Amino acid sequence: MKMNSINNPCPWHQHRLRRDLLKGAMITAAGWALPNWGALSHSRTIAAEAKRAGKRCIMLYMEGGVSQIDTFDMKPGRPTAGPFRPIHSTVSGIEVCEYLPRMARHTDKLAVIRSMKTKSVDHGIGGYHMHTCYPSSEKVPHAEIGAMIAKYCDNPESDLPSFVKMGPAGCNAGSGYLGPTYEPFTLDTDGRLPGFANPSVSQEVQDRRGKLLEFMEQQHAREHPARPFAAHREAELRTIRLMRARKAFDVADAWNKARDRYGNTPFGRGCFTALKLVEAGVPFIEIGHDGYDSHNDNFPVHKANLKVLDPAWSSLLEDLQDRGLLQDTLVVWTSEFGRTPAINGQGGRDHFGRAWTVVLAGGGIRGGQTYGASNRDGFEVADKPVDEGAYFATIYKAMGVDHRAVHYLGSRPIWATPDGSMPIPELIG
Amino acid sequence: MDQPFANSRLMYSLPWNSAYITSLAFIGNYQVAAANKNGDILVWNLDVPEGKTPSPARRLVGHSNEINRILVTPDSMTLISVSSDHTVKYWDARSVEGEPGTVVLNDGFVPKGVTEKVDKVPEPPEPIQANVVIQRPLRDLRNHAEWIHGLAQTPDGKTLVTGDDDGVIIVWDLPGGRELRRWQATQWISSLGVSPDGKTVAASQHTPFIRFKSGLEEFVPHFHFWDVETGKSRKDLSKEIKEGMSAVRYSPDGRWLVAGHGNVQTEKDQGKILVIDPADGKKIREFPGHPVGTNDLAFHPDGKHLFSCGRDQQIKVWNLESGKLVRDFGKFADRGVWIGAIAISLDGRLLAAADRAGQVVVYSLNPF
Amino acid sequence: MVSLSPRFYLTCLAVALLMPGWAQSEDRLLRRVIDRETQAVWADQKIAPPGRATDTVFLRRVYLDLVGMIPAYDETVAFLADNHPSKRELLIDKLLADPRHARQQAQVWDILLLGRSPNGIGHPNNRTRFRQWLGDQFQNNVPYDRFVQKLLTAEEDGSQLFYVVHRDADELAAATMRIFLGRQLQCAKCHNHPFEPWTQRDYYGMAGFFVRTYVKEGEQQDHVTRFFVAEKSTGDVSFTVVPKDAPPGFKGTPVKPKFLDGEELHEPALPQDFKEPESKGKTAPPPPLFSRRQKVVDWITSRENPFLAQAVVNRVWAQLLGRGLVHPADDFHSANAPSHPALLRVMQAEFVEHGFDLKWLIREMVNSNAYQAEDTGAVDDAMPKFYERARVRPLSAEEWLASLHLATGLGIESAVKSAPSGDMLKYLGQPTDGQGAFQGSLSEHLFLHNGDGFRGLCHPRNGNLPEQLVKSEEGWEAKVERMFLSILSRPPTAVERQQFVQYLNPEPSDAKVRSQRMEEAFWVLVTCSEFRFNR
Repeated sequence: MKMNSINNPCPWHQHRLRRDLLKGAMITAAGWALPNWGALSHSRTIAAEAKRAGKRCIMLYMEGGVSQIDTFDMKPGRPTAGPFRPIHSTVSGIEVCEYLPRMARHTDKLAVIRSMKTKSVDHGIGGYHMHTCYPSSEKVPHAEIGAMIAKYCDNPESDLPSFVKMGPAGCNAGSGYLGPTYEPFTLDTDGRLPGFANPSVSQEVQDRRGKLLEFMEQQHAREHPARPFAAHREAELRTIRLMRARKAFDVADAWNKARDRYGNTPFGRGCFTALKLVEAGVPFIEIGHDGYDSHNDNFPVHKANLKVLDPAWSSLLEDLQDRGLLQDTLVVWTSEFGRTPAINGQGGRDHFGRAWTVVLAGGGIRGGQTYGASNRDGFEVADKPVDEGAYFATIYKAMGVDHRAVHYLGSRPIWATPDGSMPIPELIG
Repeated sequence: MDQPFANSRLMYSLPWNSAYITSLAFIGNYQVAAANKNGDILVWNLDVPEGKTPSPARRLVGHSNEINRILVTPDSMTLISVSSDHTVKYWDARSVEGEPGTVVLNDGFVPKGVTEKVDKVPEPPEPIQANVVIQRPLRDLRNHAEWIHGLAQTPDGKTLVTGDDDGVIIVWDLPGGRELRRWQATQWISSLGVSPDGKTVAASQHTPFIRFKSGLEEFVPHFHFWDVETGKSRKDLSKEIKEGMSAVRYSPDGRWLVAGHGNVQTEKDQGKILVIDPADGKKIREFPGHPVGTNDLAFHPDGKHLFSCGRDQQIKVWNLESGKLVRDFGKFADRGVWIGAIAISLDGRLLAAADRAGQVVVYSLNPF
Repeated sequence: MVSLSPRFYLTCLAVALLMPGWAQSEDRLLRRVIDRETQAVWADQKIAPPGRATDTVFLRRVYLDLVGMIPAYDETVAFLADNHPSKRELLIDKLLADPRHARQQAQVWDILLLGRSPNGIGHPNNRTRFRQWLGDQFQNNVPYDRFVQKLLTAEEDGSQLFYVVHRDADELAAATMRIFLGRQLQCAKCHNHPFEPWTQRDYYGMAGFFVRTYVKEGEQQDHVTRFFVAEKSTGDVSFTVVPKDAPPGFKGTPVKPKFLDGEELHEPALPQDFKEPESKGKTAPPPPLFSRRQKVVDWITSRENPFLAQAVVNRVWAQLLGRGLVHPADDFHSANAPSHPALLRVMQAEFVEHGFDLKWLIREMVNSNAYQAEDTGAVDDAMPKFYERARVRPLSAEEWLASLHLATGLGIESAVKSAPSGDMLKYLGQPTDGQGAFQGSLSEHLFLHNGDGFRGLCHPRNGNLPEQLVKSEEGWEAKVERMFLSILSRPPTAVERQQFVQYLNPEPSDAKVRSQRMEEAFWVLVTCSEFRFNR
C-alpha cells in the first residue's frame, strides 16, 4: 500500500487544479462559469493559446492495415511492387506513391519510419497493441495513447474533452486504468457531435435547474469534502461547459470553405475538425480512416483510399503550419500493421507486421527523413527495427510525456511503455 | 444438343506466373493473347501437333504498367490494350515479324506461403524460358490521364470506347485511332460496353472502397446509358444497378446487354449477372453468377450462351434464353485463386481462361 | 503472516476464549472486538473517534450495502419514527433476511468474479442465470468454503460462468489465487515475485492444475447456454524462462502441478495406450481419469488452508467499510501489512469458528461503530485509512437504477426487477480508475442531462411520484418533505424546504408550469452528488 502512495506519479495534482477551478465557478454570480471558448476566434490568439497550453497530438489511424509498399516504402521494379509509381518529393531520396502527390510536397515535415516490426497482426489484437503499446493477451485494462496524452497534456481550463475520437475505431480500450476522466469522447464519423451531447432541454431550463442543482451541491459540499463528491461536481461542471462550448465542434461554415482542399469526405471533415479542436486546445484527437484491409484488390482499394487521405492529411499539415501550430502538434499516421509484400491470388495483400511503415510529423519530430529500412523486396527489416515500445516511447518523448510513467491497477504497476522501451533520438527534433 | 458443351475438355495448361493475368483475347481461332499486371502481353499459337503443349510465340512490349483489358478487332488484324500506364495501344495482331527475344515464364513470386507467418521467401525455381518474337505497338494513344479499365468496340470494327478512373469516357474512330468525343462521368469507370449500332455506351461507375461508407454519398455506384452523339446520359439505371460492375458486354447481335457484379470486395451473396434489355434498360433476368464476384463475361458465337468466370474459381455457362445454368467447369486453380479472365475463339470451339496465380488454360468446347 | 500456520490462529482463538468472562459477555461478539480494535488504533494514531452516523445517514448506507437500493418512502418514515433503542440492530436483521440481500450479494460477487464487461459469455441471459445461481447460494446462506467449492467444481446448473470468462490456465491460476486467497500470483509469471518467496516455478505449478480444464458448450434454451466445465486427462504447462531469453524453437519444459508453498501433486500414471476420448455433440464431456482441478479446489477450500478465510473476511470488510484491513483487499503480501493486524486475526478465526457463515460476518461488521461512523468531517479521502469517517462510494449502476425506481415512487417490486440498459452500464458502470478512485465522466453527465431513459423517470406520468405530487392536494411543504424522504431518505433542511417550495410553485404558475417544475426538481435531486453516492 505504501508503495502506491509513494510511487504514484500523479496523486491529486490535476484534481486540485480542477477543484480550484470549480470553486471559482461556484461563486460566479450566474451560477456557472462562462465557457472560455468565446475569445478563441482570431488565429494568432489561437496559436498563442495552444502554445501556452502545451502539446497536441493528432493521430490518423488507417483501420485495416495500410500497405507500406503502396505508400511510403515503394519497391519499384521489384516483383512485390504494385501498379503504383513512385514520385519525387520535396526531400531528395524520399519517394512516395503517385497517389500521394500533395503529401509529396510535405516530406520535409515527415519522419518516415520504414522499419516497424510489430507482433500483433490481426485487427483486434493489432489495433489494441498499436493503441496501448501492450498486447491484449495480458488482459489488463490498458489505457489508449489518447488517454495517456490526455492525462499528461490536458489543459484543465479547457471546456472541451481532452481525448476526442472520430471515425471508425481501431481499438475500444478507452482510458482503461486511467479512469473515466480520460475516456475518449467519440464524435460521429464526420466529426459532428454525438446526439446525446446536444441539450435535451432549453437553455432556460438548463440554467434554472442548474442553479437549483448548484444550491444542493453547495449544501452538501459544506460538510462533505471527500474527493468523490468533488469529482462528481467537477464532471457536471465540465459537462455544462462542454455543452456550452459545443459550437467548437460545429465547423459547418468554415468547412464550406475548406471542403475542396480537404476533400468532401468524412475523413476530410474529420481532419478539418481536428484542426479546429487543436486550435481550441484539445490535446489528443484520433481520426479513423477505414477500409484498408485489402486481402482482395489491394491496388484499387488503396488508390481509392489514398485519394481521400492525400488531400485531407496534406491540408491538415498546411493549415497547422499556417497557424503556427505544427511545431506543437504531433501528427501521427499509423495503422494496426502493414500489408504483405507478396501479392496474393486475389490481387490483394495480407496482414504483415514484420516490416512496415508509420509516419510522424510536426511537434517534436525532426522531419525530412526516413528512419530504418526494409530489405529489397520488403519482406524483412534491413536496418534499425522499431518495435511497439520504441514507437510509443518516441511519441511520448515528442509530447513531453514520461514514457515510463507508472500507474497502478490495484497494486499492479503498469508503465506507459514496457521495460526497455527507448525513444529514438534521431527522430526527435 | 441436350447437353451443350458436355464434352468440353481441358486441352492445355500454359504457365506464366510473372504476375497475375488480367485479360485474354483470341486472335482468330488458334491464337490466344494474355495480358498481365506487369504490362506484358504474350501470344500463344495453339495450332500445335497432337500431344505437344503450345509455347508462347510473341511478346508485345510497350506498356509500363498493369494492362487492364485487351480485345481484338473483328477482322482479327489489330489487338488493342488499355493500361494503368494511362495509354491505349494498338498492336499488329497478325504479324509474326519482330526482333528475337525471350520470356521467363516462372519468374513471379509464388504468393502461396509468402505471408506473415513465413520467415523466408521461397527459393526461385529453375527458370523456364521461351524464345519469342518481340513486337512493339503500332499506336500509342495518350489521351487518358488515369488507369483505363473500360474498353469496348462495335462489331463493325469502326468505333472504340475507353473509360478511365477519372471518369473520362472517350469515343474513338477505331481504325484511325482518332478521338471523336469525350465526356466526364463522376466516378471511376469500372467497365463499359458499346451497343453494336455504336449509339450507346453502357458504363458502370464505381469507386472501390472496401465497403460503402456512410457520408460518402457522392461515391455511390452509378450505371448509365450514355448517348454517344451528345455525351449525355440517356438513361440512369443507378437505382436498379446499385453495385459496381466488373464486366459490361453487349452481345454482337445487340440482343442482350449483360453486366457482372464483381468489383472490389463483393459480399458473399452477390456477384450476380444481370441480363438487361439494351433498348429500355429493363432487367430481363438475373443469373446467380459467382458468389463473391463475377470477374469476366464472354458471349459464345452461337448467340445463345454466356460464359462467365469469377472469384469462386469457377467458369460457368448460362443459357440466355432459358435463364438456366448449362454447366460449370469445376475448379482448376489453387484454393482461393480467382479466375480473372476468359475468352472464346471466333469459331466458338476453344475457351481460354486465366487464373490470378499465373496460368492460362485452354478448353476444347466441342459445342456441336 | 503468510507463512503462519492455521494452528497459530486456533491457538490465538483458544487463548481468547479462555480469557475470564469472555465467553459469556457481549464483549465476545465480534462487533465489540471490532469496536475495541478500531478504537485502539484511533487512540494510537491520535485520531478523534468519529461520531455516530445519524439515523438518516445510517439508514441509506445500510440499505444500499445490504439490499442494493435506497429505502422506499414508507420504510424511511417507519424507521425514523421508530423509538426502539435497538432499532438499528433490528433493521440489520430485517435486511439480512430480506430476499433483496441475496440479490445484492449476487451482484457484488458477480462483478467480482466476472468483471464488469467480460468477453465470451455470449447472450446476457447467461449472466442473468449465473446471478440467479449466486443468489440461490446467498439466499441459502451456503457456508463460504462450500460456496467456493461449488463455484470452482462448477457442476451445478448455472454455476459455470467463472470458467467461461477465465478460460486459460494462466488466467484461472491468477484469478483463483487473487479472488479466493487474496494473493497476486501473476507477477510471478514473468519473474519471481518481488515480495514473496514465490518463484515462476510456483506460478506454473499452480497453472498446472488448470491446464487441462476447458469449457464446452451444450444446448441453448431461451438464450441460456448449458456450459460444461470439463477436464482432459492429458496436457501440461510448459515453463519457459522469460520468453525473450528463450532460444528459438524452445517450447519450454513441462511442469508438474504444485501447490503454492507446498508439495508437487502426486498423480497416477496414465495407462500406456491412453487416448484422449473425443467429446462430440452437445452433451457432457467424459470426466478425466484423474482430476487435477478437483485437487486444487480441495486445497483452496480446505479448512487447513488459512488463506481462504483470511482473504474473505478482509474482502467482506472492504465491501462494507471501503478499505480492506489489507488494502487492496486482494493483495496480501509481506510488505503490505494490515492496518489492524489483531482484528484481522480474530475475524479470521471467528469466521472459521462460525462455520464460514457470511451472513453472521456481515451482521457483526454492520453492527460495529466503525461501520456506523458519521459521514462528515475534514478528511477528504474516499476511504480513510483508519475508518475515522465512513467511506464514500458511488452507487453501482444496478443500485443506482433500483434506487431511482424507489425515488420516483415506482415501488420495491419495480426496483427489484430493474436492470440497467447497456448505456447505463457504459456511462455509470465503471466510474473508477485503476485503483478504485471515483472519477466522474462527461458521458455520465451527458447521459444524465440528455439521456431519454433517465429523463423519462423524472417526468410526471403513470402514477409515479412526480405525478402523485403534482396531483396531490397536500401543501407544498409536505410535498417537498415527501420528495426528500423518497429520494434522499431524509427530510429537507429548512433552507432546502424553502428553496424547493419556491421552485415548485413559482408566481405566476399553472398546472403545466408546475408539472414542468416538478420534473426539474426531481432531476436535480437524482442528479446531485448526494444521490450518486452512498452519501
